[in-house]
Amino acid sequence: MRLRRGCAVTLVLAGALVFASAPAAAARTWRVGRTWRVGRPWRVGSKAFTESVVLGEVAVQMARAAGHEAAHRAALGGTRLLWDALLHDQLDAYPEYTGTLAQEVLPSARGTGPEQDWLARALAAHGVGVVGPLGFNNTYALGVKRALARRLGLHAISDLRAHPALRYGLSSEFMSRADGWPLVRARYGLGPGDVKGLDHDLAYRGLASDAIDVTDLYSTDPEIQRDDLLVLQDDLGVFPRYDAVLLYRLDSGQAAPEVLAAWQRLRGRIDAGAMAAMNARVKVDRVPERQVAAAFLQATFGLVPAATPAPSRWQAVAHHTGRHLLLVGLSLLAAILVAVPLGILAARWPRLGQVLLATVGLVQTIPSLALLVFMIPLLGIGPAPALVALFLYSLLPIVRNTHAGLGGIPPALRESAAALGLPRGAILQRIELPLASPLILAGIKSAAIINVGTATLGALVGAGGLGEPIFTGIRLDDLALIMEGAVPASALALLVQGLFELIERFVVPKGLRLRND
Amino acid sequence: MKEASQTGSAAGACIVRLESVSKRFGATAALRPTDLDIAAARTTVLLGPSGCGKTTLLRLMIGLIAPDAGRVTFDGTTLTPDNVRALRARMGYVVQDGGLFPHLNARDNVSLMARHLGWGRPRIDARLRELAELVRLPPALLDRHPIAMSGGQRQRVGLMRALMLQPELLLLDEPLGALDPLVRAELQDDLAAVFAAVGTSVVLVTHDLSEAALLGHTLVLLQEGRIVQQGTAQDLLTRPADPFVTRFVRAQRRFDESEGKR
Repeated sequence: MRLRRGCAVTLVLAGALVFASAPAAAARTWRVGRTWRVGRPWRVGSKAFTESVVLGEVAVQMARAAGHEAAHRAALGGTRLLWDALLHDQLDAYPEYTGTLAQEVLPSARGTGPEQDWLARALAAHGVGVVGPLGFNNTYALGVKRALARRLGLHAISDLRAHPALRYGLSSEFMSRADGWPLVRARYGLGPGDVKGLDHDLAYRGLASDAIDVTDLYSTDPEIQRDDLLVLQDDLGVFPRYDAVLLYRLDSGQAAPEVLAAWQRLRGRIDAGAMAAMNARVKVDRVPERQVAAAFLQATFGLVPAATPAPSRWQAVAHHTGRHLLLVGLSLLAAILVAVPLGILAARWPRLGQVLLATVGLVQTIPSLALLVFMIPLLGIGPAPALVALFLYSLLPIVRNTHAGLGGIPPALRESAAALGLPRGAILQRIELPLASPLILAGIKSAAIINVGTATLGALVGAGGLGEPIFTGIRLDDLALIMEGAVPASALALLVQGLFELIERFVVPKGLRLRND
Repeated sequence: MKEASQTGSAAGACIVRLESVSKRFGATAALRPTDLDIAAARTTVLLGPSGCGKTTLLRLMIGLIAPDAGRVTFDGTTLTPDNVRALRARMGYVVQDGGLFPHLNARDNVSLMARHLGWGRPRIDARLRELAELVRLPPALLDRHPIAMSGGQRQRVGLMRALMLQPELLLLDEPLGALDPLVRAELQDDLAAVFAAVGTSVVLVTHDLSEAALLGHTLVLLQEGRIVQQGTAQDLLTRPADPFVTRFVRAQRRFDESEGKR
């Protein structure tokens, strides 16, 4: 009895070690990373929307032009993720907006004096430096058709006062935000007028068909270019500023001053018109961000970046599928090694089993994106957090099915085994596990299939895989690109299903398969 | 094996002894304090209506359950949680529908423990041939899985598995309970032949008086967790210890007679 308990403790410890060693391994790589900083490529991140990706690409090509290797970790999740990645030395730089920094990232740092100054101080306290502003302010604005503006002589929001008959079509979010329409109307003294709440996209269509005259927009929306709109100047300075800047790690900057020097040349060089034009090139004309950024740099600085040939569609599919398989395979393997022993423990000690099942069940309820973000400080960005998240999600089906499979063995068989005089380990190995094998295998199979789907989210933390084309495709509204990820992912799920039916033939004993026939 | 049956045939030698053994399951007294000696090299039948404690008694002997009070000794050794596994290797156990493992074929079911003990292939094969002949199982059936065998065939394989290691004690819990009457009758004869051939100590549980009379040297009749009478079948018929014995015997005989008339 004492010996058996000893075995259990060893297993639990082994499980705990697997958990504990993952962050430790990551910590080691960080340290190695730091000593290699000098010769290492700059890692520039960007958020998962077009403008951020374009800016990231501009920054990367600028760094390369300055003679430093740079890599773009494009279209990672959201602000929180990128900020954490920067602080934890997983990125050297990424594009950000001052408004976001002031409102979301460092709200408690608000000080007196110009925002620019206290933000810079607060960032420096985190070891982060700022390049910028880059020249455009991506904030709420009001827009009208350029033709109408010319006819009525509209330049700034104040000019609207003279034309109370204009029809407004505003997005519901803008109408309800305290710093949106209510503030603008009060500060500029605009009359009640004709104001309708609309969906943002419908508002653009309304402008085009002259159903409305004025709408709210973001000052760098690609539609400004497409629909030939004029952004009215915020002459009273009502809207909060969202000036685009580049954030970088101060220690990275020290190690590569030439990159910073190059980036300083970007200050004030990207105005709202230029940014909106680049956004339109990507979203409307479907030109890859890399080319759009290169064209901008060539036009503005006369830089001719080295052409890097884009991989062919098949190469891309093969690359993403390979990475996807690696994510699913490794996480599943680790999960099997941990979850099957946990399931055995759960079946042997019912009270421990309840705790175990509740715990792995709880893990399952954490939204995958939240889990990924939560792991950035521990594991950084890249495959590691995705692998750990997939591993954690795989535990429940395998632990539960192992537990159910062992618990479902008829007592008469259990007793017959005990009556033979076989030791417990041999009973487990020769009788209980083979009898439970169909259910255990089914658990592993569902974990694998779920993993194939969930692994697409890995793209949001820079893990690569088939999520990369899917999310890029969603961002660019490019169905072909979405298919480039979705079709192989579905095929992979079917393949996994088939593979497990094959494995069943080898793993599940013949006597049990006969019963199923 | 030979020694065991020789010492067993010596007067009064006993293989299993129960001393003041009792067992409760919750509020139910499955077995009231009981003393019982099982004679070596003989067949003892535990007999009685369902719920009388006969199966509990059998499970106590092989240590699948531990007594609340009293002690069980096997060949002079008291059963404890520490030695029970080693002692079980010297016993064979057969349950109602054979208790065969569905994932193993008959051959692997029978030889499971022998393989665990490291027996070589030739030794295992030789023993399998011997046992198949003993229990009259066509050797071709050894490659079948339990699902592909009849109830009678499964029971023969279960018997082979129990006999594989030449046990000093063979325990059978309603071995023929799940079989239809014709197969049951045939197997009763075969069991009698096997017990005679092997000469080992046997304890068999049944509720069927004629089966008990056919197979047992000694019958132990139980009622509500208590031994009512112990003796030969003749003793039960001619010298019933109390009215329950008479009722039990009469009920079974009436059943037999009516079946005979049909």
